[in-house]
Amino acid sequence: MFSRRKLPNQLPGEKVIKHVRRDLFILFKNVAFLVFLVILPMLILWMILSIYPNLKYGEISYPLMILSGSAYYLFVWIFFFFSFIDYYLDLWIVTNRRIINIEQRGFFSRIISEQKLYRIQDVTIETRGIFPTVLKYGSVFVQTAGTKRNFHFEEVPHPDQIKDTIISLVQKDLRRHRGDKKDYE
Amino acid sequence: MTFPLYYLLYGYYAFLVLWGVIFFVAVYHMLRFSLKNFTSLLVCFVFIGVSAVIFLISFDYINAINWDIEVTILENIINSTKY
Repeated sequence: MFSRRKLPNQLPGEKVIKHVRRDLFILFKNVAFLVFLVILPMLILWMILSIYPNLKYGEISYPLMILSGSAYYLFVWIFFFFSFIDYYLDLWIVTNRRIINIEQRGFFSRIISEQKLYRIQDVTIETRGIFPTVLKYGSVFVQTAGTKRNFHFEEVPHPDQIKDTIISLVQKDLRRHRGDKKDYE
Repeated sequence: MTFPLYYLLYGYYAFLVLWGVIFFVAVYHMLRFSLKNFTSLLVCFVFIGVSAVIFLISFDYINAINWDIEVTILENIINSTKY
């Protein structure tokens, strides 16, 4: 675990401005899918038992139903936890000096990248589709100088506010950086 | 073909072993890589709690079954191929 106040490789005078996760609607979609997966076999079982009621008393059919039901629900639950981890461990941290992108890809792949604010050249937002437009979530693309990979904040809430925050921080950091350079020269 | 019913449990136990490995990896990831806050701990607690509830309900049903009986399957098919 790492603390909100103590970032990895924290720079002197660095303050966390914003933590950004995907919009809660993404989590809601996962929960809705979980509910669907929980209800679905109950409906199927109810339909099958209404056609073949004797299956409930079968020497082999009843134990099979119990074992497969238990395995199914354990699988569904861990599948949901996987998707929750994917949601929860993807994190973008905006500080007054840099942007840190922490991305969980499956269980054994984790990418942590960072970009100094003064290197940022352009910030673009994209809201596409009915739900993102109504619920005000979308993507933020952060373009940097050089051939380095751009940052992509995926399905984050209020992308316009994030864009404004980043642009304002970039301008402040650029002023600070130019000031440092003059002092250095 | 006749076999004791508890043979079915072996397949279930094999699944549980695999599930247990994934379970520990999931909890480890959550504790190792999440933010140090109440939400992370609550999520782990809920995940473990719900898993325990599924186990308890499952074992309640499983214990009620007599696994020592012998069951016969595919008898008609095997007999029909003999003649």
